[in-house]
Amino acid sequence: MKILRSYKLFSFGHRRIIILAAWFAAVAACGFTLKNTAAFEDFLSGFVGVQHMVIPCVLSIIALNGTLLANSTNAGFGYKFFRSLPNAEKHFGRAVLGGNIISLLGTAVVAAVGSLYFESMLMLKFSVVVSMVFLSIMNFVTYVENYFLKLALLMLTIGFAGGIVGFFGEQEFTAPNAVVLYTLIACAAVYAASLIYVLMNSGKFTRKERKK
Amino acid sequence: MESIISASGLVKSYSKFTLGQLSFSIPKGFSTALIGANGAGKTTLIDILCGVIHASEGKINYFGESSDPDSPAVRERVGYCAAAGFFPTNWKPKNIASSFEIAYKNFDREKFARLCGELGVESHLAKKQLPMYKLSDGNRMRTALAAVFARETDVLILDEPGSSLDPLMRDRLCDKFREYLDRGDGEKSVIFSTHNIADMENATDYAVFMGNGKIIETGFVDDLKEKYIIVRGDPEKFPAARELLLSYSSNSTTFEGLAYAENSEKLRLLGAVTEHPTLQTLSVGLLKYAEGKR
Amino acid sequence: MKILQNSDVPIYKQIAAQFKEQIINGEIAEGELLPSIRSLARDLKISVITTMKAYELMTEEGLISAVQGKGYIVNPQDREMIREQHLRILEQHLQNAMDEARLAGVSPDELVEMIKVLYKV
Repeated sequence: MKILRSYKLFSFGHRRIIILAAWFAAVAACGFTLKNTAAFEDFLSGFVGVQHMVIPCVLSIIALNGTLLANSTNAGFGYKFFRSLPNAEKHFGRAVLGGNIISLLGTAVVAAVGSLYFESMLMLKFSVVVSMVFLSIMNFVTYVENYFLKLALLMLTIGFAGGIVGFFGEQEFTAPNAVVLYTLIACAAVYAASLIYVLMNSGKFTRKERKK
Repeated sequence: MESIISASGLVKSYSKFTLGQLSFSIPKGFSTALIGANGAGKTTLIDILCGVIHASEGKINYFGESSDPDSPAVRERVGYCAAAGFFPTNWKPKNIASSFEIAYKNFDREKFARLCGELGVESHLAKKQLPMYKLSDGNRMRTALAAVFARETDVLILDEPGSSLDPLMRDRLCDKFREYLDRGDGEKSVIFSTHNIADMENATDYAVFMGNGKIIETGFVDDLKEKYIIVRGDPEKFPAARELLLSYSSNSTTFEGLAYAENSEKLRLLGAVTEHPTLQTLSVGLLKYAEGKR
Repeated sequence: MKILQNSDVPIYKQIAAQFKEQIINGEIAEGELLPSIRSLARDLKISVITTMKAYELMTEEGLISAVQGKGYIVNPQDREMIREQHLRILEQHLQNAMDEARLAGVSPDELVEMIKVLYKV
């Protein structure tokens, strides 16, 4: 609860998350109604595209990053409010954790629903990998205050996501199980590192100062 | 006199500007004005006091208890409001209310709504609320002040609260200060910065004059008014009077300046007339003096 | 209470004078609590330090005294003595007036007439 409250303190992303959840629920419902019909094949190939739904899950972190960007010392708005709060640093750490949890939950939901449709789990494992890579990038750029650099990284993350999903979205794509496993482990490790990095440095948010 | 916040040897250095060294003691139970020209360091000082930035050197003491600007206990007791863009620009009053509620133990939603009403801005209860970026500077400040006043605090530290308000609102703000001080009965204090003291004069008890990163003068307003005099005289006597004047201006008809009251006899012998300054004329004289020393 | 913001008489002296008048003519009884310095400042829309100075002045004159934790209360007044003091000051001013009258060649009757006229104003 504390984590959610802190997340809310920085980013009022409730409506955004609810809309995404509703959208996803509608897509999933479509799948169940179409099952055992001729159109199901088409739906399935479409659902691969739903992997881009993984990306919206990353959006909670993107939203948080956007808040930070808009309220950095460079922008000159809001940062004085956040920094003057009691326990500002703790709140910020919890907010980042909250963003990560919401994003991970989103990934898990997509994977769970997808597993109801797909024979092979490969694509789902792949979505998890993609999601983690993106989350890691988002965590690592949290403290980048340069507008251009941060926006470029944000755009790259979103664009890259679409590209990768499209490229690997081919049904023929196969990979040995071991490779998939190693990739998963590696991604999880990178992700863990990014989370530790962002949490360890929460003081940067409250202490980093603009040079005058 | 008990102090609410005091500092010793406070320094904040930037490449182009240095604040300090500052040592001061703000009296408890009064309203204190930080008076200075733009760029004098008022905002930097307030930001340091409120933990937005951190001093390079020196110590601050809060309430005679803590010396840590990051202490949650201190921050709960300080009601801080920055000059511009205090809140994220996309926030609406309801976001402000939620955030204050999450961040502070003693935020009162109903009081916030009531104060918004008193100050003439929309509260979190309004049906259609505008985000901060759609409000005028004055309305943004009013919303922020309503939020700060809706907390239970022991000291208000406000950066230029009156600057963006119209004269009517500034008068109401002065009333709010006095109400706050009265409610505290000597336990609550107000600190605010301003570069235009005229409208806030009768809500000011103690003044800290700042210029070019330094403190020029501090004291209770009544004492300061006794300490200094405004001098006016004939231009031909100006060269003789000049060395007694802290700051001055002259033309072919007259000269005018600020001097220590102890020199009033000497100045009167030069045919000048003297009177005690208002806070406004004193500010102008002292700030000009600081400008001249630069 | 009526305060003039731009008068030659300092505001704290105006406040003290008005309280003094009320105390001497009995409008404020002895032992009565005066408004706190901060609530008076609030009501009169003036700074706290000004009301504080007014109360200090009245304390020095022995009109009121500070009671720890309560505020300022009105001291028992020896009205006869205060009246006596004022009469002495009055006599002195009259003396000055008479000196000026002699210099200007104003007769005692004319002086009395002048005072009567001025009193009505």
